[in-house]
Amino acid sequence: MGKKQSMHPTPGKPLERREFLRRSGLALSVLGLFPTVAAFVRAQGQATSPLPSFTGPGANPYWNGVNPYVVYPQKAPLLRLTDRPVQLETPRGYFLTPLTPNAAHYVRYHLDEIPNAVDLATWRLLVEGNVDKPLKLSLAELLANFKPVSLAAVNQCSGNSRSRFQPRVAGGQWGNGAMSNAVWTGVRLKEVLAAAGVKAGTVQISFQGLDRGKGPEGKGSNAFVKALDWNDPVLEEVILAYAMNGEPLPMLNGFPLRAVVPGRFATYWMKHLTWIRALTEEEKNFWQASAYKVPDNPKGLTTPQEASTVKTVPIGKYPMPVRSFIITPDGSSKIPLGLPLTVRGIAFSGYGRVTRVEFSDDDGKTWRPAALGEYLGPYSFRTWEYLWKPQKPGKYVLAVRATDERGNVQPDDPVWNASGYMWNRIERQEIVVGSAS
Amino acid sequence: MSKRHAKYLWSILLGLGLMALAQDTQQTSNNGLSRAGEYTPGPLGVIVQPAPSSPPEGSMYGVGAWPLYTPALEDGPGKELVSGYCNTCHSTTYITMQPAMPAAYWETNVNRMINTFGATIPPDDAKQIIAYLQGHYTIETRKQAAPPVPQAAPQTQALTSPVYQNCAGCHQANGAGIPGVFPPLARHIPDILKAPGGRDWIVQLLLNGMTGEIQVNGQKYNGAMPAFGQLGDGDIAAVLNHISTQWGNDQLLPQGHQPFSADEVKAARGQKLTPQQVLEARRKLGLN
Repeated sequence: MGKKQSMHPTPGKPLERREFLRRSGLALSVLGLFPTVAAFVRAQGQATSPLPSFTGPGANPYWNGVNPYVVYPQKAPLLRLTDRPVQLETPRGYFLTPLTPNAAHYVRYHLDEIPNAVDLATWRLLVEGNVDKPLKLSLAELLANFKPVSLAAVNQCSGNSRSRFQPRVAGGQWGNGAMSNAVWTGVRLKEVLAAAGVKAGTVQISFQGLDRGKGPEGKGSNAFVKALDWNDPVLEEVILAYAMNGEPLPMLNGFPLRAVVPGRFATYWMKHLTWIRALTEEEKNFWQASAYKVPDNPKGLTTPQEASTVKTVPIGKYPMPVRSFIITPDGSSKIPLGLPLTVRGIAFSGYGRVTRVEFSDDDGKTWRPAALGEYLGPYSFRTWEYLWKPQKPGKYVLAVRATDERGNVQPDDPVWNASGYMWNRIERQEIVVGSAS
Repeated sequence: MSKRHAKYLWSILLGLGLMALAQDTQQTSNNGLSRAGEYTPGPLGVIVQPAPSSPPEGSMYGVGAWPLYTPALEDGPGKELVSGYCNTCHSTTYITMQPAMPAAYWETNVNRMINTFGATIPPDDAKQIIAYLQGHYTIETRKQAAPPVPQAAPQTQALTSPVYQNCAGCHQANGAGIPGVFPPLARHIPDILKAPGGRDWIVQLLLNGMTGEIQVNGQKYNGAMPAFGQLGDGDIAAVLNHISTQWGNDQLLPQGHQPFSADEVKAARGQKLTPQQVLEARRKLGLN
C-alpha cells in the first residue's frame, strides 16, 4: 500500500519537476525539440497531464494549437491564442457535426477595441461613397425591407493551420480549428447596394466594422478595412448576415451584422459590419494593400528563398483550397481488432461542392472512397465517414483526402508562404489497433 | 532441523499456499479488470462555469468585459519596456504565442510596429525591446516551457479588474510605470490614499485627468494623464480597487481602508475639475 500511495502526488503538494517529468513519458519525449509522432498519439490519451507547451522550431504535431481552454462571454471553453485582441480556436471535437455550434465558432480579431455592447436604437448600417443615395439602415429596416436569404458557408481564417508551416512563420499559431461552419441568414449585399444605386466608376466595395484599435489614424493599428473588387462575381453571393444557425451572432462573431463571403477566406467576412463604401479608387489601407497577400497562384506557394521577391496578390483573389479532416478517432483510444470502427470527419472547398472523399489506412499509399454525408450547399462542411475494419493489430496511419467539383484534389506536399496562409495538405492520424483476445 | 524450525517451515509453506490461492481467486473475480478506482488531483485545473446572464429589455445588446488570460513574460532587462509599449495595442500573448523565431525576426517586427503600425517607441527603448525579445524568444533562446501548473487564486483576486488594461499601456501590467515617463502605481497608490484628501483626489484624477509636472519618489514626470470619465462608475471603482490592491499595495493601505464603490464615484462626478485643477489639488496633498 505504502508504495502504491507514493505513486500519487500528495494533494496540495506540487510534484518535484524531475518527478513530474519521470511520470510523464510524453513530457520527456518533447524535451527534445522535435516531438515524435508517437508522442502525438500518447498525448491524445493523456487525461491528467497538460499538453506540453510547444513552440517549435518543428511543426506543431497536434490537431489543435497548444493553448489553454478559456471562457469568454457567449462561448464554450475554446483554445486561447491571444487575449487582447481576442483569438480563440475551436477544439477538434466540435467538427463532428456539419454545423459548428455558435458557442464554439472560432474568434479572430485584429484590433483590441472589440465592441462589448451595441445599441440598436442608434446603430445603423451606412452605405456610402460612390452611390446615388447613401443609406442609413437600422437592423429593423434590414429585417423588414429586404428579403432574407440563408446559406451554409465555412468561415475559415486565412492562417488556419499556420502552426504546420516549416520553417515556422509568425502570426496566429492556429492548429486546424480556425474554421467553423454555420447557416447564415441575412440580406444580399447586391440588393442593399441596388437600393443605394452604385454609380459608374466604382472599382471596389469596402467593408468596415465597429471594432478599432489604439494606433494612430490611417494606420493598420487603428482600423481594419477590407475591399472586394466591384467586378468580382463573389459579390453576387455575399450576404450581410444578422443570424447564424438561427440565432443572433455572438458578440465575438460580429453582432449585429457581418459580411459572409462564400468560398473566400474569413478576412473579408467583416464583423460588426457598419460601413459599406463604393470606392472609385482601390482601397490602400494596410490590411488590404500589405497584409493578407499570397503568392499569385491558387495554392499560394513559394519558398523561403523567393518569398521576398515573389509577386503577391490579395488572398481574396483565390477561393479557399479543398480540405478534409479526420475528427474521430483522435488517437486517444486503442481499437480492438475485429471491431468495425466508423472513422468520421468533414470536408469542404471554396471552389464549391466536395464530390469525393477518400480514406487511407496505410499513410496515403492506397485510397478507398468514403461515404459522404448530407449535402448542405456548395460552401458548407460536408461530413464523411468510412467503416474501417483493420485486419491485423498494430500501428496505422490514417489519412483523408478530398476532391471538389472543379477536380481540385488535396496535395500531399506541404504548403509554404511567408504569411502562413492556405494550408491544405492531406491530414493524418495515427491509431493503434490492439488484439481482442 | 529442530522441531521448532520444522513448525516455522510449515507455517511459511501454508502461508505461500494461501497467498497463491488468494491471488488465483482475485484474478478470477477481476475477470480482466486491470486497474480501477485510480484518481489523481487534476493538474489541468478547472474552468469555472459562467453564471447564466439575463440581458435587460430594450435596444442595448451587450456582454461583460472581455477576460484577459495573459501568461507572464520571461524575466530580464527590458521586460518592463516590452510590457509597457507593446501592451498599448495588444497583450503580450502576441509575443508568447509566437513559435521560436530567428533573432532577425524580432528586429524586423519591432521596426514594423514602429514604422507600419505607428507605435511611438523612442530608438533607445526599441533597441532594448529588441534585445529583450531576442534574449528570450528565438530558436536559440526560447525556453521549452514546462507544462503549466494551475495556480491558487491570489487573495486579492476579487478586486482585480480587466478595466486596468486601459492603464497598463503606460503604468505597466506590474504597476511599475516607466521611470521619468509614466509614474508608478505600485507602492505609490497607498501613499496617495494615506494623504488627507488623497482618496477623493484620486477619484477626481480618474474622472478628469491631469496635466503638468509632478514628482513621485523624487522622480519628475511631466506628461498628461487622460480623463477616464467616459468609463462607468462601476468600472472606475473596479480599476481603483485594482490599483489599490495589486503589486503588494494591499499590504500598505491605510488602516480601515474600504474598497471604492460605484456610488462613491458617482457622487464625485459633480465636481468637474480641469486637468490643471487636478494638478493643483495634487500639490496640496503634500506628495513628492
